Amino acid sequence: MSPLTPAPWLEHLEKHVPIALEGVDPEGIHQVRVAGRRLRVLMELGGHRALVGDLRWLVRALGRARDLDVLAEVLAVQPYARTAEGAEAVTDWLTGLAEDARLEAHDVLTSPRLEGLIQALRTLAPLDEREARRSLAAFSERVRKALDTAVDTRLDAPVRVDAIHALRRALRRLRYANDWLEEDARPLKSLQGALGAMCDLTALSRLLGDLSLAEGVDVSAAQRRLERAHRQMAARLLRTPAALSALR
Amino acid sequence: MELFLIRHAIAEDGEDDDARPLSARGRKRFKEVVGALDALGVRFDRVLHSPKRRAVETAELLAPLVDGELEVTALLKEAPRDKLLGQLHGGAVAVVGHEPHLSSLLAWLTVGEPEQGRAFVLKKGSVAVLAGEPGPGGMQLLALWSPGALRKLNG
Repeated sequence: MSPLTPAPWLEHLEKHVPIALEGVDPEGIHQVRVAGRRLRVLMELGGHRALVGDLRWLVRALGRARDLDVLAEVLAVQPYARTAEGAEAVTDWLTGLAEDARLEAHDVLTSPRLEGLIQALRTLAPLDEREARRSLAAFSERVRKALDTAVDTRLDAPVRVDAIHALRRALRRLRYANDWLEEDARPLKSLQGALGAMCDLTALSRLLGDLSLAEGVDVSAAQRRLERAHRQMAARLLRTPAALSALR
Repeated sequence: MELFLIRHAIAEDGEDDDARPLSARGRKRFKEVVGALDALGVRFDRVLHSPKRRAVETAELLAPLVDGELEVTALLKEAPRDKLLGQLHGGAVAVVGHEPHLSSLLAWLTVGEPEQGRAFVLKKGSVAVLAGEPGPGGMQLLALWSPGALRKLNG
């Protein structure tokens, strides 16, 4: 096994910061956040507190820009406005928000905090593998707890959106922890992907709600469609025995 | 606000200054400093630290005293400037850094002149306690504890 150092994902982070700063390719910000999440899991596997908060900050601070990138991609494929005027209002609104989010992202990506974070990660001591393996149990435990909260197998039970999002996050962190320890995480990846698609729907619905408030555009039909799709996905996923057994 | 300026603990020698870890002795002695601060009831809502490895490791040892977050900043690798003062907010904040910049910061905050830093001696693992507004000359030096003094305070 190779030593547990941040090197591979630190390189990934450093490679994508200039792309994110350029602001043309949405993968820039997305991959900076992916690297930030993976590096945070590594720090937690090592039992560290230093740099954990900085990595959490990095991921959160770029979240708005990422949500808007996702919304722009979705609207490019499936415009939700019914009229040309509506479509124009959506485009104007989204362009304005995206510009604000880019400015915020620029501040984050050029901050002394990110500069310091990258410098600190470059000289981090390799993690003790035994310590990391002991920490892995805590990641599994978080998934079990999130699962208990999220899943109600009764057919008429309401879908708990926040709990599903928490489950997705716990699952993603467990997958990343397994990746660091070179354990097979493929079953976790497919489930995390399915939960991720559901969470994206919620984020889109929220942004459409912002649009409605800001521009007076009627997005209720689009929101209803998103919510219906979300409920169907959740019910299908969380009430399927195979999915549950894979999680447990 | 209360500001605690803390010089990193004793580190090993090495060619790459950024990568020098704490020595076993430095780690042990600084744990005693943390124990003494704990006994004095010191708690931090934030810890700002330099990205150099010895400062990261010193900040990590302070973690049991931190209710909020540890935050790294490249500003603590260099001479103090306005941007660093802008980062000093909170109720009880610790700053883990290096000499001669930490003494310059101490002088800037207490007498308004960073170049007076040479008037203050901050040994490795020392803690300076300041109170007031974190601007030039806006703070008062309440205490300057060497690691040895803290160990004695802790009995």
